[in-house]
Amino acid sequence: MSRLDDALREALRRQDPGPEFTARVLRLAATPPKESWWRALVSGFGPPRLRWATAAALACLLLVSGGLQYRYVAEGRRAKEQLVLALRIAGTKLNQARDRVRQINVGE
Amino acid sequence: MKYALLLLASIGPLLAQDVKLPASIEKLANKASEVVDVSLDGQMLRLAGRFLSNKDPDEARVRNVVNGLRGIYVRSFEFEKEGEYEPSSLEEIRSQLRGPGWSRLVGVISKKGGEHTEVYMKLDDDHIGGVVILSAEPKQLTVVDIMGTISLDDLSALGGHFGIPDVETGKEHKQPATKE
Repeated sequence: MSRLDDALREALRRQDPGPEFTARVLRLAATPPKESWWRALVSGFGPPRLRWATAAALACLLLVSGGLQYRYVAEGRRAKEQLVLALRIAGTKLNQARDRVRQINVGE
Repeated sequence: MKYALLLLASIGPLLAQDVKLPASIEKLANKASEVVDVSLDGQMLRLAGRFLSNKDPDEARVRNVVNGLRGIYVRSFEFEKEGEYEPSSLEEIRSQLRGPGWSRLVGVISKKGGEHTEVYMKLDDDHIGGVVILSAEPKQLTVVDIMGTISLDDLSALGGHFGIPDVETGKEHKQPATKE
């Protein structure tokens, strides 16, 4: 039992870390922690409320531009179909007129 | 000098007159069983042109034609019975086509089928500045108004496609295989 006491006393005895320990600890405490690039980017937008507002505005802008693009494509396709229809009707009537003229010429 | 300028100013719009579809034609939609109504102004034609593929030869030809056009307007009415419209409905349009710049290219009357087709063109130098087609059948009335510059060569290039006939420009073209 006395040997155990002695061993414990020895292990828990205070030891001086040396002068370098204090300097090292103070140096580490003075160094600010490294910030990740994402945190650096997001923190530039200011307080959290402003960041959320900016994100919401960007999302709205994306939705609106997407909607406008969809409408543009739909209108363009419809215009193209109407154009083809119009040319087909015009062509059909011109064909009919030309056929009639040919029939008349052949009859002569 | 003042009077000369005034005279020119009054004639100018007449020379550049586009055909207006009268209200009497538009009202026929109420009686017709089927209506085709196409109204494409310059802006819509340019939009349609952007969606025409350059890879498709037919669509590429159409794109060349559309580039010079200011508008295409089609009204086609199909009726269930004969006599649903007055033949004089087209007289208001014909009166506009008797104005300066317009000439009647073709007028075909078929008494057997009761069909009357007229083709009018507006000539600007060597270009066609506009085409109007009036087609009256017993149960169908069609008005086609194509406004803008179309060259005979471009129109000829459409021959045989989309049911458009070959226009004789001194060049030989193969006739379309099917009649529409």
